[in-house]
Amino acid sequence: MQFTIRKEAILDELQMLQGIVEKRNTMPILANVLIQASEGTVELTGTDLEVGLRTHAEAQVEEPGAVTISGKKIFEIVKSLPDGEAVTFKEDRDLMMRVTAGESEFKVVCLPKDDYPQVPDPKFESKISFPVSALQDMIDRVFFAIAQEQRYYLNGALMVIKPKSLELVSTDGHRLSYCQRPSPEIQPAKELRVIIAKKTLNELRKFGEGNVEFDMDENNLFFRIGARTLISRVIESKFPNFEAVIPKDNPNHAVLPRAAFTDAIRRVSLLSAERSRGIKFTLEKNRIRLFSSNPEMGEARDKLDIEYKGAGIEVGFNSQYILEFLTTIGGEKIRLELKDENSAALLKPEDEEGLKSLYVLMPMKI
Amino acid sequence: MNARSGAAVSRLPRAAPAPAFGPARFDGTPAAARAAAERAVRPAPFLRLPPPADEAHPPLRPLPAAFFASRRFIVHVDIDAFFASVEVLLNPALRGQPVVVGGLPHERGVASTCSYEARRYGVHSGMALRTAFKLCPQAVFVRGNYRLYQSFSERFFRILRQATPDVEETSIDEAYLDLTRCCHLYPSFSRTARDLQARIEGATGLKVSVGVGPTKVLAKLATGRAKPAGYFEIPPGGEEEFLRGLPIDSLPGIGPKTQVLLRMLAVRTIGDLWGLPRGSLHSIFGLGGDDIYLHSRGVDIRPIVTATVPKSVSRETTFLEDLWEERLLLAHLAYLCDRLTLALRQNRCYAHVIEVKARTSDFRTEVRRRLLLTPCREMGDVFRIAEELFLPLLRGTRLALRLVGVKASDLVRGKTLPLFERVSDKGERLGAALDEVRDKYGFGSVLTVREKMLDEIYPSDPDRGFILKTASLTR
Repeated sequence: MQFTIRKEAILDELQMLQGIVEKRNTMPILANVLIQASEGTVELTGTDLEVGLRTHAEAQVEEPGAVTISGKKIFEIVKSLPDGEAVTFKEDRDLMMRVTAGESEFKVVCLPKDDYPQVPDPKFESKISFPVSALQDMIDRVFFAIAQEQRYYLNGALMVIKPKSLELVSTDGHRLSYCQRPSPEIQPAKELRVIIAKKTLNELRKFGEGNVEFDMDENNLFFRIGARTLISRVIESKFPNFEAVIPKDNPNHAVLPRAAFTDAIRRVSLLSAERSRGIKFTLEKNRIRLFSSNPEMGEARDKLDIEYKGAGIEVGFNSQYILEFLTTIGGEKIRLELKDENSAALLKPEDEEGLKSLYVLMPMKI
Repeated sequence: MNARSGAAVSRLPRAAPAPAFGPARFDGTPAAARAAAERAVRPAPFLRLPPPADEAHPPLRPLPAAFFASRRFIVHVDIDAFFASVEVLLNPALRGQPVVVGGLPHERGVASTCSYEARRYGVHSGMALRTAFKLCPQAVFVRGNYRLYQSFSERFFRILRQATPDVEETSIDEAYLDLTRCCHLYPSFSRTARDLQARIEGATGLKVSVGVGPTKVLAKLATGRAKPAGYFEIPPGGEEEFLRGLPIDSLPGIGPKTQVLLRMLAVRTIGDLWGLPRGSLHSIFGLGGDDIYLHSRGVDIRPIVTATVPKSVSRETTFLEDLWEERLLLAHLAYLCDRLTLALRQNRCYAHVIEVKARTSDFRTEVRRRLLLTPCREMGDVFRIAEELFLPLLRGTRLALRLVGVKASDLVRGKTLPLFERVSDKGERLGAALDEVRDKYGFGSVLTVREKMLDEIYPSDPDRGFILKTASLTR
């Protein structure tokens, strides 16, 4: 195998693969990337068996072939070379790769390509596509509500593809973040519901401009953006029935200024209990009061003028849970809909256009 | 200062107007005291002796009265010769005799408590048992029953908590109370403190000493004056007079070594300490010197620490004889869960991890644990999980068991309710109701049928529940 490629052309691809290749070293070969050179292009593949990335770059190929090499090392080598340099990769003897650029030369140990796991090659027949940026905005709005601790809960977000609509939902069992984008360009044959792994979502955030094509088979989800294809194993668990827990008729509605509310919560949460981060909220006519206390440190209070005509309610919430939502959405005002101190609260931006966001949060016993 | 303590001030007798004050640089608020403490941590170049008190150099005064204007009402309560008193209480034949708790005279170990009669012979806690025997051979030596003392202690703290939630447990028999926040409830703090003393003596039969002052250190020193079985309240404005004549070793933090050094500086009383500049104390004793400087003036900015979240809570017991019968093992488990959840509620925390432990007759210990998405603290939840963990463990072993235990860890102060499960506060309400009944009629007054099976094995006491073989009270 031998090919020559400009540094920048391959560096970007190697960079993308850094997030994919296995770092925990359970199977040494998973720390490698598969390099396959064929007529005019080089294909680079990385996988940790859950998420895989296939990417192409144009190159001048002298001799086709394939080999695997440490993803981290080859990235560091290419990155260290002078900008604009042409880099030649040559499989030297058996399982040694010679990398040359200008006067620099490296010889790197490789592993045979046959040991590398099969990464499926999708056909993309479903014809579902939407802008990457739109998907990334949606990911931002649900990412924080995916369970932090994998041991407790499913580790991904649900994507629902309906005619003219794209939805993303995440939950950790205490809260739920829902985001919907009207997408006239989407015309699926039938409604699709898939759970996308957290790692895949994180990789999708890194992709550049363009449209993402989506397809799936029994075991995998495929996302193609330009020359890059992300392959993600289907998560077998069942996503909870989220529609059922979104409150429909909470009677007490408050409208709050988002920035001021966020700041007040930040202040009061300074003295909330170390791990549970609980704050008490008291709603009364056109006012909300915030209170936190921590026996080891002290207590904090704040209050805010709001629009509220509902019943007097005292309810506790994890302040970090609210802050995470308030800081990802836009808009000047937010709407808070409550029933009582034991039932789910609904939060949503009051005046935001485009994306539709909902946040369902269970109260906290403090 | 919030509004409530402001009200407290108005009810207290006003302190005398602030006299002109010498070198202390704080204006009396805790924040200022802290700031002053920070400023003053400058080592002196060399040690200076206190200036003689004469006309030109009036003796230094301990504190500006303004410091006490925002005064708190701190009560320090200490059970007199706790373990020994319990022994006397349960065995009246010991009354009036020297009693040493900790072990028998020939045993290794130290005396953990001794009665006032024994102290007269020079015996004190921490003394080797053999030495104690030499000093006082006629004393009655008792090994002691920690479990028993614990139950007395629980009663003691329960009474204190009825007066105010601001109770700091400093040890099994000693507590600080801050009555300031409860000023609306009490016409007179002094009466309340005295009532408390009488209530404890009435309910437990134990004598307690009570000291009252505006800071923790002053309250504790007042208790020293009150002992045994007395009451002493430092009158507002009388702090200086109270402190002046006290020997330095009565001040917390001054041990034998510090004392020797201070005696070399001709310091015998707290009043003598006032003459030492803070810098000198700091250069000799480091940060401890700053504490001595402040405490000797009655200044103590330490807050009352009402509750710290423990790392974990566990309850376990060894059986009288090894058990294999599932029914009885589950009864033990249920009883331990009941005890455990009581402790969780008292600490106002929820557990993310429940762990069950079993030791087989060949002394192998097995542990099973479960992580919970939603933390819990009610008997029903904890027992259900414990049972689910325990049964496979029991069925996997062919041996009888000698010990079971439950442990709750990864404790948090609050819990967010689950989104996808039906929320019911039944368990919580039941727990609260149980606590209330048991507060009044004792832990053994309400037990589940499953727990009642232990009647076959253990004697029970309405107050304390079953009397298991070993203390089920590890923290």
